[in-house]
Amino acid sequence: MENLKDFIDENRQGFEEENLIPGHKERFLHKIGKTGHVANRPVIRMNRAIWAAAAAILVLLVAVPLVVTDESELQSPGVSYSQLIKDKSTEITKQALLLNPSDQNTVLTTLGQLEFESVPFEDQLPDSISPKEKEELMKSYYVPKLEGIERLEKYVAALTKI
Amino acid sequence: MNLLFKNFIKTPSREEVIYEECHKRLFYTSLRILNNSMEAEEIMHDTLLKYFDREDFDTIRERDAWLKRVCINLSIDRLRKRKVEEGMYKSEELINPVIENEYVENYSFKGISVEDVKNALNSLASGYRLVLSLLLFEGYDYEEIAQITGLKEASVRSQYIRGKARIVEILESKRSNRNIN
Repeated sequence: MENLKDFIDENRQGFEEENLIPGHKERFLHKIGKTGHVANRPVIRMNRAIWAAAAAILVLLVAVPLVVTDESELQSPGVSYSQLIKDKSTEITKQALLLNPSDQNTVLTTLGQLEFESVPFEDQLPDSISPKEKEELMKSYYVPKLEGIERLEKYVAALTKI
Repeated sequence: MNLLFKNFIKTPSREEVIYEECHKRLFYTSLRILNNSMEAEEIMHDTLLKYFDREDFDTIRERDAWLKRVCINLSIDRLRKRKVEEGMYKSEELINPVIENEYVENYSFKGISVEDVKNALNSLASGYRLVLSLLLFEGYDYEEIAQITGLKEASVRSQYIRGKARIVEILESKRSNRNIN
């Protein structure tokens, strides 16, 4: 009787619920574009009759953010994700040292995986992209990392309370 | 407004169609081996890029088998690169004979959640996780896993039995903790 196998087979879907990191498809299309694979990009055709409507929407999309500016967004370009990760990492490492060797090893290995970057993401971005695009890519890359680190921080905090 | 959207005709490229069809499967296969979603995403991308570099297959089944195999191989390469000392290929694991434990085989999963099993799997050393993942999720047998990993069949079997025993140990300890609380 293969209980573990049976359990997994019966609950297979539950094992595949982890969310992919937002922007995975865009990053793939970007990579594929770089390697020259993309044969036929999506074709968009528009009737002339609706050009005016499209232009109006475009104007709205551009103008509204200029009028309604989120203050937090003004602060975000200065955010150094690497520094945030580094700070949190130092804190978690400090806390992890209070744990037993097995938990300590698990925490530090996970932390290592979360903060590992053979080449900093920022250095991998082409110069040709705009600062806004750059910021968005950085955000979609680092925010899940930071979320993971925060989860780990909570986990360590829970362990140290036991 | 409806008129506006009706007039947009979007034809996804072949790459996008295949990406939509296959990416999740590849992601989870890699994630189970690597236990790191960012690396799993990279492997999923690299697998598909390799696929687009070659000629198409006659059947979807052939294509999927190829994709799965490449995804696993790339994930194993990534594991090796990590050089984690978790004893993935430690030969001393073969020194002591591995006896299949009846307790492990007949362990009841009553009250155990998917999350518990997931966490237990993720806490295993990468070598065990790899073997268990290939056997339990990808449907390979000992012989095939031996070919994929370059391990001896006996070693695969021993890693599987030990990994499974470890999972039961973790789950049982969790269950006991719950009962205490």
